[in-house]
Amino acid sequence: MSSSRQEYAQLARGCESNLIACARRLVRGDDDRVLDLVQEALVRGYEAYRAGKFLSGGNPCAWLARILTNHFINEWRREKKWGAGVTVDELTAGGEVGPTSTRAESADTHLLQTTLDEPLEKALAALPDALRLTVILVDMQELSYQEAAEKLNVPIGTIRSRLARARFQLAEGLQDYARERGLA
Amino acid sequence: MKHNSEKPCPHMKNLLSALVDGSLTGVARWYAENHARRCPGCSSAISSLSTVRERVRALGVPSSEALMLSQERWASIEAAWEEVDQVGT
Repeated sequence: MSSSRQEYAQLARGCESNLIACARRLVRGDDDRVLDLVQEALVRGYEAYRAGKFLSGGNPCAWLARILTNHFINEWRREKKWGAGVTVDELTAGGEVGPTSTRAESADTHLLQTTLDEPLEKALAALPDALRLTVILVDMQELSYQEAAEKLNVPIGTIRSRLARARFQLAEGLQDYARERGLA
Repeated sequence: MKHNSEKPCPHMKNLLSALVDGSLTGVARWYAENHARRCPGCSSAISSLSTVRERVRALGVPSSEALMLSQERWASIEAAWEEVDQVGT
């Protein structure tokens, strides 16, 4: 076994759970597809690693997560609804709502800060694909609006409006969760 | 039209979201900040959106994560790496 493969294998195994978490956020509820995505990303990652595309000192898990996300987006764009007559508005429907709380700012903010990660993951999973992908690219993988627009093949203005819809929906989802459990 | 002061103004939502991630600049930023200073609903929304964004950015691996690649999958992955090595040499 080559030394670069040994090095890569070590990185890959160390990133397994990060990649599974990343794939879960992209796929939602299909474990086989999650594992297929991770498997594919680790193979593509090795091709890129051999080609010298991983910069020494970088975060290997973040790098592999980007490869995984790129692969998912390519599949999503190929398979998904763009070709089936569904518009962007339909894909991102449901986002025209803002926080409904009538409570003071400090109470809402405190509530959002103290709610656990699990309801946040659920709120993220409840977003329509187009909104969730945009949040993952910009907020989790730290792409610029321009980079996210190029990846998703949409105008920058669409990225801006999807992020706004997604963030308002996430805030509302967490507030609903807290209220349902009497935390608010 | 008078807007419900407890909610963010609908026309401000994209601006407020861009304000919290720092992508809003120039006159648009000045306008959004100025508006929020006078509007409790938009001011509150900035606070909520900032918190949500920070929470999303901080999300890691869920502690309840039990899914793993099976030994069979790892064997397939290693076989694929071997193939990459053979093609590449």
